[in-house]
Amino acid sequence: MLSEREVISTLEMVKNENLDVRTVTLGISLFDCVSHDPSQVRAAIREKIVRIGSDFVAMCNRIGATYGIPVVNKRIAVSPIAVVGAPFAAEDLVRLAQTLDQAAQEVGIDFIGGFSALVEKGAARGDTSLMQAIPEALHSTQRVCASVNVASSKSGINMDAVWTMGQVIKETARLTADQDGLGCAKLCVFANIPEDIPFMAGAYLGTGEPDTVINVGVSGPGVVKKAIDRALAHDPTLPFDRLSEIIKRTAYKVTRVGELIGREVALELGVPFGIVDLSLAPTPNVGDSVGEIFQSMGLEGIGVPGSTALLALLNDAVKKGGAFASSHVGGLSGAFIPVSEDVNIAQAVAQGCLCLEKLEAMTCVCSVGLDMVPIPGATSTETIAAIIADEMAIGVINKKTTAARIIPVPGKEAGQEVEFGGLLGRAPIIALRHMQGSSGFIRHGGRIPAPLHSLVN
Amino acid sequence: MCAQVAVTVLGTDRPGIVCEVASLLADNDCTIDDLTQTVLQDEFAGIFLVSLPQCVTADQLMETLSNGLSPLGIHPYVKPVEPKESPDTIQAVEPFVVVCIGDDQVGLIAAVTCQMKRMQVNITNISSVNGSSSFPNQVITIFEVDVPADLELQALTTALCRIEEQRKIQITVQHKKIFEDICRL
Repeated sequence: MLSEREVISTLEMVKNENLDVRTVTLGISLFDCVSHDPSQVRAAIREKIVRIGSDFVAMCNRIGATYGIPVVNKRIAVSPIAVVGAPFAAEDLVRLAQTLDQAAQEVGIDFIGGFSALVEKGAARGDTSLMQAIPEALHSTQRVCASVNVASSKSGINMDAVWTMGQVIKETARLTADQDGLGCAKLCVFANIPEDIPFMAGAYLGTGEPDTVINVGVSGPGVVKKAIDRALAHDPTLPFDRLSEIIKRTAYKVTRVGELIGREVALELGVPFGIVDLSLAPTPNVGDSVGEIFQSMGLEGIGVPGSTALLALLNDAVKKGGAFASSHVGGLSGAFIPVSEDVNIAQAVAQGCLCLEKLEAMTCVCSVGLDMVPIPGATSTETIAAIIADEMAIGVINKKTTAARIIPVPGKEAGQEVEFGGLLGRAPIIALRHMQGSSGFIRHGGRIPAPLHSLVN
Repeated sequence: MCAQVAVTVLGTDRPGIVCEVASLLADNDCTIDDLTQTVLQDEFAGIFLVSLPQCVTADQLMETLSNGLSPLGIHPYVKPVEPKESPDTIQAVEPFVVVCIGDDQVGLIAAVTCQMKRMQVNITNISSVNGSSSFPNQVITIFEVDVPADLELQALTTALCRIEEQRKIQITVQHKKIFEDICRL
């Protein structure tokens, strides 16, 4: 028998606090689709994705309806295409991206991830082709997402790849200028990329993963905010250790939802269940914002002094509560701070509370990095590459995942608004200081060595 | 094998009701196999599953309990327990929770439960709450139900949606497991 409190608190989370499963992501290995013939590879890839994924969306919707929990996004992540298409030239990989796009459309998903390469130590032929192919691939497709891992704590930072990705981002923005550089919203540059991310644009299926797998990304910033609001309404002087406990308990509940839905989908699809990525992933909707949590806990807005400490507390508590709720935790797991996807963070940029430098500082303790950050379209390739290098250094030295998803918006300047639509949201373009000061540094190339893994004091 | 009966008692709640019923049963060599009670506002209701000794019938126990309890303001009823169905005939079901949220209305419970009856949905528990912080000034009625496994959930939700629209209330239907998984370790 359920208690009234159990029923009502669950209903409150679903109906009033935007509790949902942000994404169920079906991982599909494409390594058994390889061939020397690009057309054969494309045919095999399309056949496998459509065969395995044909019932995926309907199944997620049905299971979501059974439990009364919306599964907001249904997505597919595939093996890194730079490996699957290792022998091919860039133009072959562009066509392969179009095949992925077509297969995604056929199975009814909005994004497919895995147009990816891992080049932290160096680029093989397929990796180079893939990076060359990214701008046109993202320009000529709707659903394909790309990611490139350019650094790791074990290998250091591949500065040649960082420079290349600066060029790739710039070219992608140019090709998608009519959509304010939207192609760059589907492109992430990573350090220490996990193999099992369910969230886009970084999702791909790692080489150590099974043939098929279900990974789940939960959300719930609104639920966390309301739990904090309720506790502080009862006792406004609540200390941080108690607030941490409240966040942990809430993260536990949110993660349980993801675990349950993920296991059900995996069971019905007949594929293994992988991980729950227990992230606070905001949307542009009011009440579904990570930034609002900062205001609930006493800051004027995200970005003012105290924000990094608060984000550290939030990230830690989410991980601790979520880890207890799931048998396998993975992906990014923590709090996202995407600028355009979080209405409150976008407002903080507009009000001057949050600048790029503070955002970068906060990525030392958040779960990802510089995420969905629109920058002036005139930003030079060197500056973009240098921003990426800084962000990668934070990940490499702190042995955590960091990423850069920055969008130089063609023809627009700092302070102008840009609208990407849907969950990608809208934001003012963030101002950059000293935009021409990095070119001498970035052109050195080579590799920044990996840090020591001892003597860590 | 001893005959089993269900003894129900109703009365205004006060200390001692269970003691008085149990003592009478013990005096008549009846064994209490299972029992439960609930108090709704000030009204007490108890159910005792009781094994009778060979020498006592259900009618005799009813008379004994009435004589002993009625002067105390307790109203008993004794009913023979039917033999359990064999496992082959038990219908497979899935546990769901139906919640109605809205203004108090005459006939709402009847409308919802009649629809459930039509679809062979069995109510296993029901409770009602007047308002909460998120749903102020509204009545929340919680039905725990067993839904036949062969019933399409969509059919039930569609039928309840019609009541939702007619009566301008909110009705949710969710598998019970979601509540257990979220709220319990």
